[in-house]
Amino acid sequence: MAKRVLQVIPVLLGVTVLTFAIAHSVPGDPARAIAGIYATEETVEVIRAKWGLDKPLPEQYLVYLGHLLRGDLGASIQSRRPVADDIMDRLPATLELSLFALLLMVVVGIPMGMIAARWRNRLPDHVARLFVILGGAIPSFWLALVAQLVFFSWLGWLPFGGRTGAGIVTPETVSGLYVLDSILTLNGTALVHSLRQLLLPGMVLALAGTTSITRMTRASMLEVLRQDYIKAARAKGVSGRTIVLKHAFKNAMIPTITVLGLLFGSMLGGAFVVEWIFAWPGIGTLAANSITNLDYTVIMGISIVIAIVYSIANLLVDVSYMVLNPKVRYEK
Amino acid sequence: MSNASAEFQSKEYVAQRRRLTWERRRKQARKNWYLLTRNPLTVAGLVIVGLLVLTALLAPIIAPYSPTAFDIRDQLQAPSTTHLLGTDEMGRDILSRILYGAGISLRVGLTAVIAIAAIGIPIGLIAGTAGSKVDTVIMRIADVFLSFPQLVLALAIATVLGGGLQNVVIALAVAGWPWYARLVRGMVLTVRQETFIEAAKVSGATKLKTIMRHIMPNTMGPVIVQASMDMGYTILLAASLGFLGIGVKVPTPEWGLMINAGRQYFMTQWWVAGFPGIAILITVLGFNLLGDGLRDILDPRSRS
Amino acid sequence: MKTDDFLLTVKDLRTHFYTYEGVVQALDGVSFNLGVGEALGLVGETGCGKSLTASSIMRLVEEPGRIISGEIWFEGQDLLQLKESQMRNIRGNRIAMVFQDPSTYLNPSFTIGNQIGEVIRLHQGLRGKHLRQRILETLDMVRMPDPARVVNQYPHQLSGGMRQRCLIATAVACNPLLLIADEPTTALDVTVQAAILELLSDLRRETQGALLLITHNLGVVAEICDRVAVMYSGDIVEIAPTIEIFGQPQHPYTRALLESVPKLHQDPAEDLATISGRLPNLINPPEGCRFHPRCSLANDTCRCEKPSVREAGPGHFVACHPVYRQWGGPA
Repeated sequence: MAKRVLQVIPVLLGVTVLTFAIAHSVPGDPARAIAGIYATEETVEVIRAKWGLDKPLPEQYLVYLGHLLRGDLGASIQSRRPVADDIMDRLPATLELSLFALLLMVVVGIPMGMIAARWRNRLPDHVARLFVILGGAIPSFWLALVAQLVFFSWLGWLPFGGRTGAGIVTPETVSGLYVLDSILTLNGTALVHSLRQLLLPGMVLALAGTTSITRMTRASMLEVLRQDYIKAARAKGVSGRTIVLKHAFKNAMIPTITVLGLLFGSMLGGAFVVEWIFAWPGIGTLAANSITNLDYTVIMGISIVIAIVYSIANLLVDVSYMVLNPKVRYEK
Repeated sequence: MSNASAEFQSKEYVAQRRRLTWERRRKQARKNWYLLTRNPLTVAGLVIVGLLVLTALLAPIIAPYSPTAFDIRDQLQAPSTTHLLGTDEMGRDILSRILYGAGISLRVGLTAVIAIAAIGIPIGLIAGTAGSKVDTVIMRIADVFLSFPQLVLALAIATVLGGGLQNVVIALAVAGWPWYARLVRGMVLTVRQETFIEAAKVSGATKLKTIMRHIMPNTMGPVIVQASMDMGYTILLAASLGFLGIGVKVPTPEWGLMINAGRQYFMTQWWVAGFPGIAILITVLGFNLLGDGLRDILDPRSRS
Repeated sequence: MKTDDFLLTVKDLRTHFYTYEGVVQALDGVSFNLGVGEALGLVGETGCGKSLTASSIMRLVEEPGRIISGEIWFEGQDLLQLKESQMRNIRGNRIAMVFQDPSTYLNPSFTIGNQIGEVIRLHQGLRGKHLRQRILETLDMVRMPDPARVVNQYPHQLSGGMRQRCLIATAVACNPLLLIADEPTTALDVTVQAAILELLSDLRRETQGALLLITHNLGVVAEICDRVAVMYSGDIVEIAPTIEIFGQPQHPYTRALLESVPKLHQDPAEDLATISGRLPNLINPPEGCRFHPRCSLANDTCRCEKPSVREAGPGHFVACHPVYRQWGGPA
């Protein structure tokens, strides 16, 4: 297991190299980009020297790496604020949305997959498979718009977007995750309000992942139910429900867990679009705005942060897989 | 010994072997076609993709209007008999734009998938056959790329390279190749352990010949399945990039971009962003269904 | 034949498989009895339906198979008429099954103690200390070395023979009246096979339970079983005490089967004896006796009328027209 943990380090290093490479693929002269269109040739040279842009690339990379390790992600071209600050401001919001979506995915997807497997080729299975097929083809940004239309415009059940604003009660900040904070500070109104704001963007974000989890759970459950040890359990007189919930579940979950890491990653990507549409003040909106403004430092900074978070998430998934699978656990 | 090999190399014998192989392949193809068409969902996917390709090719003929002709006075009209799907904010006919957009999406999807395969498959083959040091290095590099969620990486690259469909394809290719490399490498490693590879080696096949003749055909199945399913996902990614404003620029009728443009009017003039979204939905659906069907043929393990 | 004399009476069991290619008539009227404490061997080639018979008795036939008709009398009840919940009370409890491949029939994610304990907890309601005690007792019964350690181990940590003992332990944990063993030694090394067979033999003696042993290996049957039933393509063709089956086989198939087993004193240069022809397609089985296309004794009756199992000697039953006529029974 230690081997797996150590593997992360060279990969993260590679990530920094890649990000550096991408950042420096910007066509044109970076010094000029910073200086601005109207700057004179001299100003550009001064800036070039100041930012060390005249040094050879490997040296620039090491400088870059040094900055990274100190937590310095550079400054936004647009706002001149340190990128790291911008990101940290908005990270809790994205985290909350992602975790909420993850929760929805698991809570909806796994039971749906299990039910589909249990009643294979009957109505619940057909419904589930229809959901998987359609859900997997819907563009999330379009769905977000439709969701707003239906739930806000037509039905008026849920808000248009946003996390804070007029009429929304927010709790005291403990972790930055409003739902969690509301519970911790025993603030009922804040809890209701924050859940209300979270619901629509969370559901839209969760869709793609839910279809994946449903599909995987169904497939692996079907695979497991075909196994000999299930027949042996039946021969012991075990009831159908126990077979599914106890005997099959544990084995069926193993492939599904390995997929969770991947899903988290695609969710991080999907969050960009969803946040933007719902005006959710997270990293995604920051990224989307930076794209429009061509604020490369911000985009690169966000990419690195996401890559690191994603790597850690995959690490956690791999480790928990090792823990859960007795064969791997006792290989020592 | 030499007598036996002479017999196996006589012209008649070789010709007969060839004939038998062709017959076997034809029978297999017929069986595959039968399997493919047996599932109604797969047929639906086939039909959708077929119609899509036709639309893309025939757009200039069947579109009622030019996709870029605009007249502000006609803006934001609801679907009617003159504009079947309505008009957008510049007065352009949405139906025509969607029809032309099919070609764009298909082109991007196809080129991207081909590029990804062209990069990923050879790398995967090398990683699987070149020895463990090379393998480890390649896999670490792939891991680095895989540390980014695909959309994020493609986004970063596309933004940095600037706009244009070409850069979108490059971005998608850079973000997508590791999946294929990993897939192919895994298959190669599995196939290498099969005893018929040893048999081939013993009978004197060179390494390259072994790869081309024995390893590759056995690994291509899952790759083809992956590719067909990826078409849908790639088109979705490309549309997402379009939605974020990367890639094409107005007035190119890219579906994602159209949704972006129609976003602010969505609550009242839903058709501007609504129909392109449905177009994306149907397209991705078609490829996914087709991919599922292909998987049922090429990967018998997944048969229920 | 009073059904209460026997522990298990299978009457005219028919199990069919509904496949895309047609209806496979896998079991076509299987009938036999099993006395209390008796060991009956069910032999036949692969695919003749012996495992299916076992599954049918336990009512564990899986889709697309289905039990069409018949009666299975056990402890005064027709098992085929019971509700599923009642059947569950019997499985693992009054009738238990030992399976062929211990590496796939044990759940890799649960400890041995958990898997054996489940059966005990389910049918005998024991918990905690008592449960643990009973689990250890059961492992002792199957002569497991170091039971206290095995209880906490996972299947993949044990050897093939030990795993099979675990399967047997699970089966005998609740002292079933009938133990069905489906090819219990086929997946094991020869040396381990002998040990497992001995174990089954001893257990039978100790618990006085009945044993239905399913195998394709005639040697195994000769060691343990009191009586033998020979199956061919979904039918029982001969039932007799073991000595008689081997000494005086009546049915042409049984004779051919015994002929084809290589003998110790056989001349190594001699060709092995085989049975000509092939197994019948069970979607379209031959009319009359299913063996007639390959049988040297086949006559016209054989070709159109299916022989039923009839007595052709004391305690010796055969399903064959020519043999029956020879014995002097009415045609």
